[in-house]
Parts: sequence; C-alpha cells; structure tokens
Amino acid sequence: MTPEALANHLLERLEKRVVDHVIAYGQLTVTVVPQAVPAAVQLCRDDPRLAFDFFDFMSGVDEREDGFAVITHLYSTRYRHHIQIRAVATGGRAEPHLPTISHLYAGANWHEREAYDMYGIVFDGHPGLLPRILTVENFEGFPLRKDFLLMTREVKPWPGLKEPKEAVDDDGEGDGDAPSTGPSAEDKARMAREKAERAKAKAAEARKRRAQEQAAAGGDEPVAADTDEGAATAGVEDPEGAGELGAEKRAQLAYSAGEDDRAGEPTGAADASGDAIAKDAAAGTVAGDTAAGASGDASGTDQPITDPEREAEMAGGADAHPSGTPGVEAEGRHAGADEQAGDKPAAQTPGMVSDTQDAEPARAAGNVPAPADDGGKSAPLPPSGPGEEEPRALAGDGVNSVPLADELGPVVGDTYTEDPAQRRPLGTEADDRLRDLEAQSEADEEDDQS
Amino acid sequence: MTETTDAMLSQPGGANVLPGPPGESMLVEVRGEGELSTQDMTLNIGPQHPATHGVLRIVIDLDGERIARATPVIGYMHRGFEKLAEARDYRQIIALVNRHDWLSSFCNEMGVVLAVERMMELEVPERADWIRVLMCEWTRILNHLMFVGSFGLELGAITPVFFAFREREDIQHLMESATGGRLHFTYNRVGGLKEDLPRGFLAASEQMVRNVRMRAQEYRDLLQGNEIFIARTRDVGVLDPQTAVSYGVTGPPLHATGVGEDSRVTEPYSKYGSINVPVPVGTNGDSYDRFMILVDRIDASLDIIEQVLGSIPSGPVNVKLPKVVKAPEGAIYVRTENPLGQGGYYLVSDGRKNPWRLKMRTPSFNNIAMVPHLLEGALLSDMIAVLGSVFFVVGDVDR
Repeated sequence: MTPEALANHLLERLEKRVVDHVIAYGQLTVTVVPQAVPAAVQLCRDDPRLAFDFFDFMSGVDEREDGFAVITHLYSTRYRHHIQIRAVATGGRAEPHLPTISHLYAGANWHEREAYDMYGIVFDGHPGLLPRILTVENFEGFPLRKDFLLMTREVKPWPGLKEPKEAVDDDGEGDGDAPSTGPSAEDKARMAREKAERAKAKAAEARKRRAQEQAAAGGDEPVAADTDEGAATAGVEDPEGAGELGAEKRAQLAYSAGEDDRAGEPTGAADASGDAIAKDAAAGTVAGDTAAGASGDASGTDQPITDPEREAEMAGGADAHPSGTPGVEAEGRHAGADEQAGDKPAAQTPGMVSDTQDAEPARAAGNVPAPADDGGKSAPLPPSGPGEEEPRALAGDGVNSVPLADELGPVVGDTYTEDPAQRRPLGTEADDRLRDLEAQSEADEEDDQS
Repeated sequence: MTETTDAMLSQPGGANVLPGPPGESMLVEVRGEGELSTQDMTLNIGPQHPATHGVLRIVIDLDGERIARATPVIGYMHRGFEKLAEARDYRQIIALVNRHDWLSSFCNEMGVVLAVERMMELEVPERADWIRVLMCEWTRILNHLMFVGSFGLELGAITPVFFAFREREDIQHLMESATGGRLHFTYNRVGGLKEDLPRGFLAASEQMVRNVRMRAQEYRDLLQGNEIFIARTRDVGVLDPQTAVSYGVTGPPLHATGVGEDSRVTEPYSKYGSINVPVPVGTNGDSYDRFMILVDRIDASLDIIEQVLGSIPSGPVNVKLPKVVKAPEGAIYVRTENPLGQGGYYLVSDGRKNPWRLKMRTPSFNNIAMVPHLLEGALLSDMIAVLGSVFFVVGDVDR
C-alpha cells in the first residue's frame, strides 16, 4: 500500500484515536493517543491488508516541553510497506508512561528496556524494565534526555582544530533560520585571494628549493623539476579547478585528466591513454637523463611521470601486480629500455629492489635512498604517485573541499622527500646501540661462565 | 547410563551422593525408576573483555545439561554513541558510526550519509554512487571472512581462520589504498566520497575478485562436508521465520529461515537498483544454514563487484556543499543491508548542524535479543554453535 492509502486505512479503523499523520520522504508516521498504542500496533499486525509482521525498531525522542515521544517502526515482509506509530508519553517530563507492546512483538521487549534506560519512559505491563539494559546498575539519570548534559562538552569546548567557521556562516546556533549558504561573496573573494597568494609563495619557494637540490645532486636541467611539479599538481587537480592553473601547466593537466577518465571507464579511454603515452614519452626523455645522472633524487620526485605508463599497462589489460612483487614485473618489461627507462627507479616500490636480482647499478643506486617506511606503499596496488597520496595528507581539512592544486604542490616535497643525510645518524645510532647491547650480553655470558 | 542408575538405586537409603568438585558434592534424589531430579544451576558465562570477538555475557540457568533460561547481559561496551552524535556535526558523525560495528564500517557510513542526503535532497554524482556500492560489497566480504573464519575456530577447526585472515589482509590493503584506513574507512562524505579511487584500484579489484572467488571454494571444501562440522551445526539452534521477523532479526539468521528480506532488493538504495543482487536463502534456519549463507554471500558480493566494475562511469565523486551541512527540519529513517543484517538510522533534525536525535538501529541488537529464544531447551554444548552462528559484534549491540 502507498503511504497515503495506509494512512486512510488507519484513519478509517482507528478514527478518533489518531491524532495526526505525516508523510515525509515517502514515510508515514501516524501519531496516536498514548492509550491506543497497543490497539494500533495490534491492528497493524493482525489486519491481513496491513500484515506488518516485522518489528524494526523503537526509539524515544525528546520532545522538549511535551515530554517524550516513542516511535515504533513496523514493516511488512509481504507487502513491503512501512509504518511508524508515534505516541507522546503521558505524564510529561516528570513521569512518562506508555503501555507496552512487548506482548505483541517479541523484539519490542529489549527496545522498550532501552527506551526506559535512555529516557526513563515506563512501559506499563512490561515484564521487566530493570536491570537497566545498557547503562550500569547504579547509573543516575536518563542519558538521552536533553537536560542530561554531556559533561565533556560542557566543561571543555570541542577540541578539534577545524570547527567550521561559526562566526561567519552559522547564525548564532540555529534559531530556526534556513540553513545559511556559507560565507558571503565578499569574504569568499578575500579568502580565495589570500589563499592563492599564500599558495603561490609556497610553490615558488618549493620550486626554488627543489632546483637547488637538483643542482646540488647532479646539476641537471631544471626542466625536469618543472615537469615534476606540473605533473604532481595536475595529478590531484579536479577538472573543475583546472582553470586556475597557469597556461604552461595545461599540457600536464591534459594527460592527468585522461587518466582520470580511464580509471573509471576502461572502454572509452583508448584515445586518452594514447595521449598519455605520447606525453609520457616526451616527459620520459627528459626524466631519463635526469635519472641517469642524479638517480639518488629520482625516487622522491619523479613518481608522477611513471604513472601514465602504469596506467597504459593497466589499460592494455596487463594484470595488476600481485602483492609483494611489483618490482619484478616492471623490471622484466623494461630491461631493454627505451626512453622510458628513466622511470624505472620510481616505478618500483622502495624496498622491493632487494628481492630483484638483476638490478643494474644505476637503478639500484636510485633506490637506495628511498624512504624506508614503505608500509603504506607495499599494498598490492601499483606504487602510488604523489597525486594519490596528497589528498590523504590533507584529509582532515574540510568535508568536501577538493584541495587546491597549487596548495598541494609544496606538500609533496615537504612530506615525501626524505633527506638521506638525516636518516643516516639514526641508523648508525641504532647500530651502535645494538653493538653495545651485544657486547654487554657477551660480557655477561663470560661472567656467567667464569 | 543404566548401569550407573542401577548402581545408585542399589545403594541404601534411596539416595545417592555423587562426587562433585573438591569440597562439594551433589545431592541426587532418586524418585522413581531411573528418574532423576537435578538441582538447577546458574552458570555465568563471561564477562570477557567486551572487544573480544564473539563473546557476550550470558547468565544461564541449567537443568542438567539443558539450558532452561538464558539471559544475555549487555551494555559492557555502551559508549553512548547516540548521545555523542547529538553533539557532533554530520561529517563527524560519519567517523562515529564507523565504530559501533567496526566490521561493517563502510556500510554504517552509508546509512548516515544517505539519510542526510535524502533530507537535503542532494543528488550524488553517479560515479560516487557506484563506488559506494563497490566499497559496501568489499566491506561485506571483509566482514563475512571474519565470521567464516571465527565460526570454524569456535567449533574447533583452526585452519579456516588462517585462510580467512589471509584474504582479509589482501582486501584490507586494497581498501587502505583508496581510503587510508583498514577498519574505519571514513570514506563517505555527505554528497559523495572523500576522494576518487587511486589509479589502478579497479584493476586490482578485478584481480582480487578472482582470488577471493577461488578461495571461497576452499572454505566450502574445508567445512561444508566435514562430518564433525555437520554434526555440531545441523538442526542446532533452529529459528522459524515467524519468530525471526517478530524479533526483527535480519541478515544471515533471517535469510537462513527462508525469508529473503534484503533492502538492497526490496528497497534498493544507491545503485543497487540497477544491478542484479543475489540473495542466498536457506531452508532450515539452523546453524549450518546460517553459516553456509555467509559463505554464499561472499560469492554474491563478488558477483555484485564484478557488475559494478563494468559500470563505473567517470566524473566527479562529490558535490560542492556549504561549509556547514545542515539537514532541514524533519525526521527520516534510512535502512541499509549491512553485513550483519539490516542497519538503520532514524534521524530527527531540528534544522541545525547537529542531529536532534540519531537512533542507531543495529542488526546485532535485534539479533541478540532473539538469542534467549534459541538457547532455551538447547544443550549447553550447543551454545557455542548457536551463538557463533548468530554473527554479532558486541559494539553493535551496545553502541
């Protein structure tokens, strides 16, 4: 039956006992007088045209000065229709009472005990509301009543760093106004401007620093650095935000967008993937040189370039790399490398190299300084480029906001480039401690023996 | 047995004292020929640490070896999620509902975001909807693997749990690559998803479907025809459909009785309406059926994933929202088919950024409420097979 037909049927049968009925979101809620709850529920269960056999749930609701309401949700497995029977308990907030329906539906027993535990609603005729079902025996008060304060929130404001800006877009703790739409246009424009400036400064700084690093590492062309950054930036950008990118980055964005399509729709992506390969080839020639000269730097920064190639593999029907051995396949394929050879060091998950026997010296060198903590990266997936990881790094920020691309650029460097020089001392320190311990234990053993 | 009775009767005085535990003895009164009246005994099972898998504190009144009355004592893991939800905004609630049933986290998220989206009349992008279905089914498989493994373990079969955890680990890696989490994915957002899938996720999913399908057969080979397994589960804890629905039992325990109520089919949400959702049902409603349905549901989910993989369109995965999400005034109930049964959220909003009331209708609560019915009259030694096959998570019972 449709909710309307159901409502009519109940009105006809229960007449004056129905106080009100509401149909919202296709769901019918019938409010009946408290004494009529068992009768209404029994009618729903026994009337062959209704046949509500399935007891779904029962829930108390705090109705402010009216006291407490109880909603009983029933469902018919035969007709597949729902009904919610609502009643406001008699006795106001002081002594809420309702008749039980636990004799009609076995499942109502525990739900009524819960409603008693949470709201203090007494169900007359219930076989035993005590002991309290969820809280402890000597618990005082009824926790879901609105006058029962959540003490943690009372004594301490919300500890999160990122409370949505209430001053701007919340109208004094909701006094019934329509949901506001967010900051005013002026604020938005100002915020966007500031954000863009900050991001620009950051990006420039990162670019400078990376160029320096590369110069220090092997004096290679800054072109590679540029390409990297463009790719990294475009990788996380959604098409909508693309307009904000500088014109010189359009090319990288184009192939990134191609990939996105392909990830979703293997069939319609042939042309996009072709494009990606062409772009990749172009990028690869540059990156290849870079990697050969300054392989130490490659693993951290060259990743974005490798991804189109990986995608091409996927689109070509190649199997995903089985867990634990992504490096092996990649090497076999590229052994007689062409211009894509430069991508290899980055294509492998760091740490896998030790398992692959025939690593050529340059490539091995490329992997040595890779981050040791490959926990996240050794997933059975192809190694992820920065494009996939950055949003995660910023996940705490905002609900649906897609992070700005130029904001993310520098993060790549900050988060994922590891300075080998910084790691060294740690390792040696640990080694030293280990040696000390060993020496100590040997000495102890000798003592024992003597 | 007869010999013992005869021996006892032959004792002088018409009564007999059997050896009990040290310092105690049990008085057995002999009334008539071979008829014993035993003293009732109350046995307290648990409480264990509430996060231990599959344990519940049950107080059992025993008459001999038969259970006269079983009373589950719940609430050891009550964390007041419904109260906490009232103090949080909707994006925070997504992280909260991840945690009451930690083995169905993605499906729980679904219920909440669907409720808010329906109230706000928000259109979710196609791609996000499809990915949600995909993730739901992976979560379902993760959940079922856990229970397939542990049920074997509870009955004394060690191997299945190792097999199950091997697959779980692989799938968790896969999920981690997309969501960043292994248990609590928090991948849903009101209006879509946190972010798009990583590159290669779909290809890896395809591979994983093949692996798991092959290995699901191994569980059947291990347990389905196993004599001990059959002897311990067949005709044990039989549930009839009428009782099941009157308790609001859902999920595998309901499907085992032959009632195929599954909201993915009867009231399709997200993209379930555009695909074929197989719902395996049983005939006997016993422990054996409940378990086999669990294994069959793994296969069913794999079928769904295969359909989804072939139809995910490209496009955005979320919509632009105001910084503060507010559901309009009103109330809505959204139910979803979670791995353990029907999960539902009854959301009452007064138009603010926090819900006025968020009732969590959890499958485990209703299913455990029914357990005393199954245990009454059962043998104590069958309790494990009954409890293990109702498939519940204590956090989901207590919230």
